[in-house]
Formats: sequence, C-alpha cells, structure tokens
Amino acid sequence: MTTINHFKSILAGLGMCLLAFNVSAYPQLTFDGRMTYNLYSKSGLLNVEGTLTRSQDISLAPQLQGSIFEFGGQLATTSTNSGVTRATFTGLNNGPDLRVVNGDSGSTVLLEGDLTGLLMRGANGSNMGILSAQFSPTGGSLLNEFVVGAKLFAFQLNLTRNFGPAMFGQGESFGQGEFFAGNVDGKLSAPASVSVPEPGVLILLMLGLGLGLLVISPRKKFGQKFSHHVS
Amino acid sequence: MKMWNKIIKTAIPVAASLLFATAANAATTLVYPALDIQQLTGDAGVTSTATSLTMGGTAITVINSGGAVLYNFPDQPFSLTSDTTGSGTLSVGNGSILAATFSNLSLVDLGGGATFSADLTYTGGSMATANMTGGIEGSFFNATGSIALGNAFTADNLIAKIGKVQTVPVPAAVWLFGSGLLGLLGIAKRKKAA
Repeated sequence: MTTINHFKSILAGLGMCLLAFNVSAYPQLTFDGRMTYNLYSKSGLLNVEGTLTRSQDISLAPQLQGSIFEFGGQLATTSTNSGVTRATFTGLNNGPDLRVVNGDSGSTVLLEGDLTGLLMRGANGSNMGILSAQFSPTGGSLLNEFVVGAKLFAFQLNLTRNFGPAMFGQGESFGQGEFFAGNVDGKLSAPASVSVPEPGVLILLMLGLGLGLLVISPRKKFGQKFSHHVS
Repeated sequence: MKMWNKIIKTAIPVAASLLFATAANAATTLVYPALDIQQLTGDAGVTSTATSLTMGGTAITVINSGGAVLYNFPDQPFSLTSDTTGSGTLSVGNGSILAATFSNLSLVDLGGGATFSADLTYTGGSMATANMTGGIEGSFFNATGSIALGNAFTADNLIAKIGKVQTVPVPAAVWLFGSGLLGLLGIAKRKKAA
C-alpha cells in the first residue's frame, strides 16, 4: 500500500515537473533613444542610438544604467502607396547591424547581430512612424535567448521631417549631413515558442517532493498502527 | 497713403488665412519627459470589436528625449478603453499615477502595424498635478485584421508614450503665405507705378 502511494506521489511530481519545464518565456529588451537619418554621397544611413529601459525573461539581467542599444541600416528602396511612405534598409557594411552593450564598467556585449527586412513606414504628412525587422544574433552573452525568430519593433515620433515621397532624399543632391531626426521607442523580442526551463521552480519542486515523501511515509505507518489500535 | 490702405486691407484677410492654414496643418510634438508604456508578458495588448477598443500594457519608466531613464518606478498597469468615436478613458497605476479622459483617438493602418494618437484631459493621479492636458502617441504590430475603430482585430507589441503635446506650425505653409504677401506688395508697387 505504501509503495503504491509513493508511486502515485512520484507520478504527480513528475507531472508537475513536466509542467514546469514547459513554462514559456518571452525574452524582451526595451529601449528608448534618438534616431538620425543622414545622407552620404546621395545614399541614406539610418542610425538609432538609445539606452535599455527594461528587460524581461532574460537569464542575465542587464545593468540598465549606462547600457547602449544601437542599430542601423543603409537605405535600399523607397515607395509611396495609398498615402503611406515606406523605406527598406539593408545591413551595414562594417560590423553588426544591431548591438546591445551592458551598462557595466567592462562594457560587456550582451547581444549583436544582423537585421533583415528592416522597414520604416508612416502615413504621408505625419511625423510618427514604425520600424520593424527580423534579428539574427551572431554574438553576445544573450545570444541563445534571441536565436530563434527574434524581431525588432519600434515606434518613431517627433520626426523633424514628415513622411512623404521626398522624405529620404534618395538620389537627390542635398549634400551630406543630418537629413532628419526623431525619437524612437522600441523592443527586441523573441517569440513565445521559446521554452525556457525555470531552475528555481524545479529545485523547489524536487525539494518539496522529497520532503513530502519523508513526511508522508511515517504518517501512513502511524495511521495504520493507530487504526489497528482503534479496531 | 492710399496704397498703404490697400495693402493693409488686402494683408489683413491674408494674415487671417495664414493663421487659419497654419493651425489647420499643424503637426504635434510630444514633449519629454514622457511616460513609457510597453506590452509585457501577461498584458492584454490591443483588442478591437464592433463597439469598443481596449489596450492593456505596463508603464515602466519616465524617460527623457535622449533615452535616459529619469524615474524607474515599479511596473504599473496601463489600460485604455475607447468607443468607436475615439473617446474614452485611460488609467496608469489604476488611476494613482494618471487618470484621464481622451478624445480624437485616431488609428493609422500602416500594413502589419499601426500608429495611434489621442488628446488627453487629466482627471486625477500624481502625474496630473502640473498639466491638465496632454497626449498619448504609440504603435502596435501584428494585427489580425483591418485596423480601424469599429473593426474586429487584435494586435500586440504595444508601445506608447504619454506626455505634454506641443503644436508645431508647418513651415511650408508659412513660406507659401510669406511669398503670397510679397506678391501682393509687388502688385501694389506695379499699380503705383502705373
């Protein structure tokens, strides 16, 4: 009887253990900062530089103060359709497209990698827009947490040039320098499918299971003896 | 003297038109420091039905324009509920940080994402003491349907900012009217010469 009870407890424990293993995490880094769009030799360079404002479901909690979140892209195409102007960007020629540096004194690289499908779009006449891209990490201590299906989303506001067909000055002789600027608020996130075991929960579960078995066994024995005495 | 009277008579309606056109074409700028809203795990995101639109997120920091965190308070719930006319209520920290009514909520479908903005009138909360009006501007992504008030859709990755809003005149309109005024002066001069 006692063996069957132990077996039942172990089965229940294993079930809970499996549930704990399937806890999904949504790794996410949020950032805030400034963006500039510069013209160099009739081509455009988008640059965003900000700071980390929060992290979520990250194994190594970054030191937010002094941290850097930066990314950029080279203008590829522009188009205007149905009152919306879109611009696509390709990766930077030298170095990673995106880089996150920890705010510690050692300037540890938390994440770096490349952006694909970087797209900026907004309604003509508006100074607000959005940025989106897929992110493929190539290095950094948080590489494994963003290795599958990571995406970049950002909100652009207070742009000094409104969206419109001439927004990016592509191929025009405007000279070099800052063409427009603005504020950016965004996030880098990995999809919900990323399943991360939570070690704390598992340790607590195993401890509870072990202690539970230790407590249950004497009580069962005592209960059996007590019932014999009563009868 | 007659010429100046003519100029003044012509210039006054033009100046009035200038003011009207400038205000009509004004863009808005969100003034920092601003409250930073993000959708975190467990937050509702954006849900729209035929009768209402709701947003659920978390207020995480107060931020300056360079991205530096001015105040990093414990996470506070953010919620917004709008009717199909773009009016409704908003709260941060269940009203302890900010409670507001809003109007003119507009959504702009950008394909795969959207921007939104609304005019706020603060009704309570610690943030409401300095300025009784402000604005919210933001975006969301991955919408499941056509984005418009009264349409059924859901979306995620909500990002928003709440702060004071300034109206900025559109420079192009000013220049157009400036050149118009110069033209009038030229006409007056030609008439005088004739």
